[in-house]
Amino acid sequence: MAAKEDLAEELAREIRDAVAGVARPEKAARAPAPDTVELDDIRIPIRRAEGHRTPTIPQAVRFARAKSAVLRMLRFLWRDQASFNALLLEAVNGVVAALERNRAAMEELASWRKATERHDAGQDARIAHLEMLGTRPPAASTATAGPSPQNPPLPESVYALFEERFRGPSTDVLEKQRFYLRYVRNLPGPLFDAGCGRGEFLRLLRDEGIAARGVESSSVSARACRAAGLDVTEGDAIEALAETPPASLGAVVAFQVVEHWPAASTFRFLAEARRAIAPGGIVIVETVNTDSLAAMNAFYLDPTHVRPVPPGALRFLCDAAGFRDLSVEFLSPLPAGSRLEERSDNDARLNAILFGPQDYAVIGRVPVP
Amino acid sequence: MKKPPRVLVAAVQSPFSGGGAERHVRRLTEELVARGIEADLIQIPLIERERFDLVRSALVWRSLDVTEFGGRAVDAVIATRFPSYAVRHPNKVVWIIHQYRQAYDQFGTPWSDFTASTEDRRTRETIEVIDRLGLSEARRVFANSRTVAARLRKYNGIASEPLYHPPPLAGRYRTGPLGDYALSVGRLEGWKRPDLPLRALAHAEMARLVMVGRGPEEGRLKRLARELGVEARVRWIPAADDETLLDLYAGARLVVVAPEGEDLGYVPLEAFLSGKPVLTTEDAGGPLEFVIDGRTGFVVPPRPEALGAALRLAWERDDALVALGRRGLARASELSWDATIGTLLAAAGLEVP
Repeated sequence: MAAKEDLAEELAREIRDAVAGVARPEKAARAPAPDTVELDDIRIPIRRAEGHRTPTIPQAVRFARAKSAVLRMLRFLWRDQASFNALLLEAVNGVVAALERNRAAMEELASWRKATERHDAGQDARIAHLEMLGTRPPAASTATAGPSPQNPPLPESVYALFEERFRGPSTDVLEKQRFYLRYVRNLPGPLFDAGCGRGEFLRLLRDEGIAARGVESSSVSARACRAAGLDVTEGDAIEALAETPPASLGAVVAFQVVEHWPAASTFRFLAEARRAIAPGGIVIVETVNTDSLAAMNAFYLDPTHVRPVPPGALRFLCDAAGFRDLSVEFLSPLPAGSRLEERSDNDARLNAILFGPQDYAVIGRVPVP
Repeated sequence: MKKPPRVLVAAVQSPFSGGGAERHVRRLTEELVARGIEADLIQIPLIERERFDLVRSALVWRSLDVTEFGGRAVDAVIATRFPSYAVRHPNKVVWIIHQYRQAYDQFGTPWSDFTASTEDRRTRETIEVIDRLGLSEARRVFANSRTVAARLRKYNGIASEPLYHPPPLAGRYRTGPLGDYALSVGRLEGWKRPDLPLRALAHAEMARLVMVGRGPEEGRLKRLARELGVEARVRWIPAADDETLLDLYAGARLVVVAPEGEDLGYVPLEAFLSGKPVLTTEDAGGPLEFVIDGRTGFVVPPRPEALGAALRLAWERDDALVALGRRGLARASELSWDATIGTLLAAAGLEVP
């Protein structure tokens, strides 16, 4: 059976190859990309208009033959109109061609920009790594104690290289975090980003004119943030939060941080956050979605991950720390192509277990007395 | 005992022609009755003599309020073709077979006789208004296929869901050994492009073709077959009764479907239920919702050489054809009137008794 199915696929492939062989060259040259469809909305009516350069009688009309004969006799009447139409068509065709060239140029530029950004981030990490190799050997004591923010399992610069390799490019993170902007407008004070990483969210906030500062334990990332003009200090986020005066912050956010901490640290962090946030302020804690096997699959890919935190547990900790109006949002769905095609309820259930969203966030509020 | 729900099917009548659309609405009514629903069919012809007749026919539908008959309420109306969905009823579900295509996607092609004249322009605008009004007041809009749903969204901005149904002779199709001919079934008219399979024959010397159907292009096609020198390999069957058609499907090697922008098309489903793979074109529309290249058939560019190459390469590959046909059969067997009727009634807030 399996062999037979292969036969069918193989035959279809042969036919595609043979057809490509007889394809007209100009058709093959511009295979339509998915996002050129809107241009087709222009191209199709133009192609149809070409068929009406001079008046014709559609086949579907009654007495088509007689009408065509009359039409031929009268053709001299609209010679001018016909040339006008033809000229206009040529002009529109020219415009469409110009549009296409523009679009191609824009796409090329966009891909260059993306490549350059990636390259820059990679260079920063590599330079830091080289600096470290040149100055001191990696600490040997890390093998004995368990990993913790104070005692990371990898030298910092190696971790920076790791992040550059395995985490998405900065721009992707930026797009993803745009979701949280709706929660952080009109805060009762500045925002505190615990473990701000490469500072993507702080950059978003700066563009929106929202006051914010960050703390980052990686000196490489913290330096990069400061170089970009962001208010970021290097150090331990929990300690920094503990030093903040009570009710002085509008919000505390921690994206992809708590999975790097033991449960006790997470609770201490939440308690300090509760103390530091003014009434009406909010807390947002995002981590890996433990309900999705696809997300869990990559959990220990990051050697600094300590333990997964299930949504129920994180929600409980937030509640215990004194946050109210708690909600859980699931984010970063897998692309449709990586999920099962949903033809039944069973498929949907399997999808939820196997290919659920990769992250979730608990959002809570400090009640106004 | 609770009385069964009363449902009216609203459809367009084409007197003296009895086409596929009419058989379809009759079947829908029968399937409703078979499930214990008190269903009946109301039909009004669509007059197309003068341009404005289209609008007049729509007005006839619009002036009818079918909320009750004989003192008893009608629980729901299922409207089908333009302009039957202009009918008035508070619980109206539309299952649109297709719009008045000449005013939409076929405009500007040889298949539409609408021109740029003021009268034609106004008529097209009015048709848009009728569609918008009749469809947007419906409780739910279903389309016969994804292709039809996409057109509704593109031209009218109306969201609808595709709702498939089994082909007319469902339950009677039979499979048979691979025969020695490719089969083409359908009216011989322009946009169905019956000339494509004929021209493809010129590129596949071993292939034979059976053309079932008649239509305005018949004479021209026969002339074309002579010019191409393929007439010895073509058999013409202007009209086939059900049994003959079932035999023709069961005995075919594969089935060729080459229309441009077809709404749904029963032919691929009929081919699948007869265990035959389908060769179709990239711009075929509805057929592409079932024919998947390399899974249940072949999809090639709409050119004679391409169809010809596919016929030539596939002709001797019995194992592959059988495998494709088997998967097609499995796919088409998923469609059932039970599911279709269930969806329609649920949309109207009714249940199968």
